[in-house]
Amino acid sequence: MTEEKKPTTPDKQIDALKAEMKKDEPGKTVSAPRAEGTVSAKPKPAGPPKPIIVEQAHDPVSEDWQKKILDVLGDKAKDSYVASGEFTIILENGSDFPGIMALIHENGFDYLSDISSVDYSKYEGTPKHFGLSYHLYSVADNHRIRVKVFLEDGETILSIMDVWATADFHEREVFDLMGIVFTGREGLRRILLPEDWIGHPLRKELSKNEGNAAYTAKLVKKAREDA
Amino acid sequence: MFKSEIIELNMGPQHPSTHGVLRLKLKLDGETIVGLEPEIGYLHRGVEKLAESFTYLQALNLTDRLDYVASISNNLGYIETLEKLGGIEVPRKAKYFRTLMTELGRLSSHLLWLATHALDIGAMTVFLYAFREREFILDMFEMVTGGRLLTTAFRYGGLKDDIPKELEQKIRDFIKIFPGRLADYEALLTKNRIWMKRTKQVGVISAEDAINLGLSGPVLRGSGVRFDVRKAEPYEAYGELDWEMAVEDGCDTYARYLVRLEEMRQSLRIVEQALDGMPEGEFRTKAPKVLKLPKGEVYHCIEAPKGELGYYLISDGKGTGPYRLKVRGPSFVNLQGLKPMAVGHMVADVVAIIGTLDVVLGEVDR
Repeated sequence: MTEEKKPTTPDKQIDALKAEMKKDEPGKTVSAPRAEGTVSAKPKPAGPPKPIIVEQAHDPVSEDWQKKILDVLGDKAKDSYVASGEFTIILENGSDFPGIMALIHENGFDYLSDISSVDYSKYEGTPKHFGLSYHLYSVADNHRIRVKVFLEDGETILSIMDVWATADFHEREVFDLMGIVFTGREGLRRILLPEDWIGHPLRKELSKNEGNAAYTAKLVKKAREDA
Repeated sequence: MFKSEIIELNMGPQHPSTHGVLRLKLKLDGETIVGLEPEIGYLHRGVEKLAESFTYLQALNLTDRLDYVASISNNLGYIETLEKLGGIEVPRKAKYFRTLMTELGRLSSHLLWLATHALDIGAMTVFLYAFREREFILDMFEMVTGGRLLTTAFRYGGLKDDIPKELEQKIRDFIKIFPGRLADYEALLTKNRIWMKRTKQVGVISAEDAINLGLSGPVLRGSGVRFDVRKAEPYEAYGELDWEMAVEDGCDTYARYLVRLEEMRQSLRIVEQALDGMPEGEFRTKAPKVLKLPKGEVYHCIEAPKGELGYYLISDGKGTGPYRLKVRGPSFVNLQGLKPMAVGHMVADVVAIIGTLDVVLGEVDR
C-alpha cells in the first residue's frame, strides 16, 4: 500500500478534489463509485452485525434514607435500585396510587420536580407500553427519588394533584403529548397543542409530521366549509 | 342603575408585557382579578419529539432554543446529563470555564429580566443601562462561541475549543466596571418610592405554597426557601468556590427583585474566582466522535437563571441519539405560580407579576 500525500493548504485540497472529479468523468457509465466486484464473490453476512448494548449498571440500595423509605412502603414497592447515583422505586398502578405518593410526601419528599412520560413500545425489556416517571425532591434533606409506574395502552392513572399542586401542568402536558389520561382531577385538557389537535405526537408510532398533516387537513377542510 | 358582572379579558398573546406569546384569560370584577388562566403553546416547536430523531450532538442545538436568553445554562444542563449517563469525567479546566460561562449567562439573563421588569413597571432608564451591560457579555459569548444568543457552547467531555486569549482581559474589564453599574441600578430602584409601591406586597406567595407549586429559582428563594441546586447538589466547580446563596423572606415581588440583584453580585464573585483559579491543562477529555451511551435513564438538573432546569434522558443503547428527552423547564413550572400570585390584585399588577416570574416562552412551550 502506498500512502498518498495529503495536500496541506485549502487551495491545494480543492485542486486535488478537482483532479479526483476529472478522473471520474470518463467513466460515467458506471452507476456508482463503489468498490464492488472483488467483494461481491464473498457470501454476504445475514444483515448488519448486532450492536453491542452496554447497560447502565444497577447497584443495590445501600443508604439509610433509601432503606427507610422502602420500609415505609413495604411490599407496595415492586422493585428498587440505584443507577448513576439515582434512586428509583417502581410502583404498581392502582386505586391506592395517590395514597402511596402521599405517603412518600409525608416522608419528606415535598417537592415534585417533574412528571415525564415515555413510550416504551420500541424499547427492549420493559413490561408495559408506557412509563411515567415522577421525580421527587426533599428540600429539607436534599434527597432525590424517581418513582416509576408502567401503564398499558389505554390504561388510566389517578391524578396526584391533591398531593402536589404542581402536578397540574405536568399531567396536562403528559396527556397532551403522550395521551395518558389522568382521572380524579379537574381540567385535564391540552396545554401546548391546540384543543382540536389530532393525536399525541410523542407516541413512537407517529412520525414527526403525521399529527401536523392531519391537523392541517382538518383546518383546510373547515376553511372550505366556511367559505 | 349600575350592574356588576364578572367580565373576561384577554391579555396577550401579542401584549408587550407578556415577553413573548403568553396569553392570559383574566376574569375581572371591576379592575380586580378574580380568575386567571394562562394559555400557552403558541411557541411549541416539539423540541422533545425532534430530539428523538437527532443525534446527541445535534440535539444540543435544540437546547439553545429553549430559554434563548440563557442558552449557556441549557447547553450545560444537557451536556452534563449526557456525561452523567456516559460516566465521563471532565477536566478541571473545562469545569472552571463552564462555571464561568454559565455565571456570565446568568448575569445576562438577569440583566434582561431587570431591564424588562423595570420597563414594564415604568422605569425606562434601567432598561437602557441594563442592555448596555448585557451587550458587553454577549460580546464575550461571541468571542468564545461565535454566537451571541444561540451559543451551542460546550461539548461532551469538555469544551469545543480552548479558551480564547483575549477573553481574560475582557472579563477583567467587566469585573471592574460592573459593581459600579449595579450600584447605579440600585440607586434608581431599590429605595425608589414608586418602585417599592409597585412591588411590595404584590404577588405574595408563601414558602409552603411555593414548594407545593414546584416553583424554583429566585421565585422560590424570594419566599425564604433555601434551595439552590448549585449548593444542594454542586456540579462543575461550584463546590470549590466561595459564594453565598441569595435568600429573602419577603415573599413578594420586591423580595424577588432583591434576590436577583444579590445573585448578580454573587455571580460576579464566582466569575472572578473562576477566572483567577482557572487551571492549566486539557480542555477536553478523549471522547468518541460518534457518541453512544449505555442503555439506561438519567435525570439531571442544574440551577438555570430561571430555576431548576432538568433533563430526563433515556437511551436505548443502540442508537446514537436520545430515545426520549424530556425537558423540565423552570419557566413552565413557575408559570403555575401566576394565578395564586395575581388573584386579588389589579390588572396593572399582573404586568409586575409576569415580570417577577421571569418566564421565557421558548422554554414554557418547548
